[in-house]
Amino acid sequence: MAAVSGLVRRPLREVSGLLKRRFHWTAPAALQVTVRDAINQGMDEELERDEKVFLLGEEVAQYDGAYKVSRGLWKKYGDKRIIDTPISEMGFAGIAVGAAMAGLRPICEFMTFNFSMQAIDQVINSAAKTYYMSGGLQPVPIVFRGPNGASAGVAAQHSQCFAAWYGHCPGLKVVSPWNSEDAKGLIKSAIRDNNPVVVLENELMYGVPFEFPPEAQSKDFLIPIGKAKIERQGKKTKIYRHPSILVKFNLEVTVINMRTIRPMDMETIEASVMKTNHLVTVEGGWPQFGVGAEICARIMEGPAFNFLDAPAVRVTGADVPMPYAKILEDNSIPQVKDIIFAIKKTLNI
Amino acid sequence: MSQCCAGPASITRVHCPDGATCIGAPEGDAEPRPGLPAVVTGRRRHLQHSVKNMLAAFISRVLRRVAQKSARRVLVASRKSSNDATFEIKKCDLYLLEEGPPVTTVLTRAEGLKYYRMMLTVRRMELKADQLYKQKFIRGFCHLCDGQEACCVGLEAGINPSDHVITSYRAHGVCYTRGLSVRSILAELTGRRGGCAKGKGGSMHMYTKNFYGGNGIVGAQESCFLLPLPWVSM
Repeated sequence: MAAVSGLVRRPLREVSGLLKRRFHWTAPAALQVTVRDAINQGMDEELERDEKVFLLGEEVAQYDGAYKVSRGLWKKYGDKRIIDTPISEMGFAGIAVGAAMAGLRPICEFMTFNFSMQAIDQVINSAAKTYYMSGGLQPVPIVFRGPNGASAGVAAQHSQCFAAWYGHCPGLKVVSPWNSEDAKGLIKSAIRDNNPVVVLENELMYGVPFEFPPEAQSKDFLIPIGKAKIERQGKKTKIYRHPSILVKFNLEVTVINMRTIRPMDMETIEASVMKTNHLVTVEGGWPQFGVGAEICARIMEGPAFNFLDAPAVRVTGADVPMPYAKILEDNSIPQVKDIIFAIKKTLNI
Repeated sequence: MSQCCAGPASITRVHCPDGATCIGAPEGDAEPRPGLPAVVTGRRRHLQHSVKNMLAAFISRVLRRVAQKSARRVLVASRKSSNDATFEIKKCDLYLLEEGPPVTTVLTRAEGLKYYRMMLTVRRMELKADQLYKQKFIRGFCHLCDGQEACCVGLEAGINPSDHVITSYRAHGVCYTRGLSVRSILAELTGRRGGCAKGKGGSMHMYTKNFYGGNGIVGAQESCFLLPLPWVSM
């Protein structure tokens, strides 16, 4: 009897199971995108959106980019939009600035920012100062982009960080993306901006994949220039400019990714310092007149100074031209141990 | 010829041409000397025979060597007269100068060998640098000049050690011809303290007296050097 009732009951249960069954719903796997692909996507979308946008630089077209950042763009847009230039930075930067003044929206790629020194007159005198000098009549909507800072074993003339140099000049906007989301959002904002923008990328980060949030996959994903991002909340402030290293702490540290060097987002930094009472800045460039120096000076001039419990500490690259030998090079850029040492020094532990 | 006389004082059982099977019988002596037993005379004959053969062989060897030497000397002698090579250089157009550079130049055998040796050294050094780069002992950039050794060696042939030289990033060959040792160049490439720039410069930044290095920035060497030349040469 029991068996019969069991038999009867079972199909009912199964039927109810059928009735209750719905679509199996899992969250989509996080999309991993490298910084290189993110910049490529950003440029691709802007090239598609506005036909006045074009890219010029050494090896950007047929070679797909010296670091493959502009892969596939020449095939898609052709010779008129993606232009290979000779090895003449002063020449093609000047051409790009002229094109911007005439109404186009060029993206001028430097193979590395070290070579931008050949063209720095065009960047500063022709691009940065023009809007001011013309009394607001002549905007220069140009983007200068390329890898900046130390690479691996490329010695003194190929490893300089230009954040401080370009950050010094009024008239320029300077951004420094870290992960793929930053890279895509900032390059898109830079291209849409009517001012000359210098985008300081990092060669070592090009191949690093990051999680790409769904909002970043939209064609109108922009990151406002001039806003920093708090990557991590904690009890102590640390400002990263180029966080290509992951730091694990027992302490609770607030990590701020500056994203923009000029105009600097002092509100976020001051708010964080007022909460945590300590400050450590980290950058890859040389210490004297660097980004960290500027942040410390501005903290001193602002309301956050009264909240500091200890002097702010800067962690920077060594004050030497980048040496070639591996061991010397490793010790010339900020390492994890240097940051830990600086934090312990500030906290007096 | 007989098959006897394998060597001095070797007693072998041989078949001499005179038909007799003798022990160590020298060739030639058909008749034994009177007064001596037959075996003894046979042995002595064989010894004389072997000594004679040895002497003949030795003399022929000496003569052959002498002949060869004199043949070589003859060959050398015939080349000596054209040992130096003369090259003609295209005449330059002159402006405000009475005399231009010379229109012929002579390369002596000694010089030719010297330049060849320098080029071979540069080639071996560059091939090794290539191998080290692939094994990742050399990092960053490594611009090689294997195949272009004649450029740096030819340049060095035309200038004095007191002249000033600057070049671009393909500098290893010029470093060698300007006086840096292969050891110091390879040490610099591998980032060692014994390198010419103490490991701090790398491939493109090697310097020595009257040599102002390679340059990493394309075209930088022109403005660096050509323009101040009038002041430097004073």
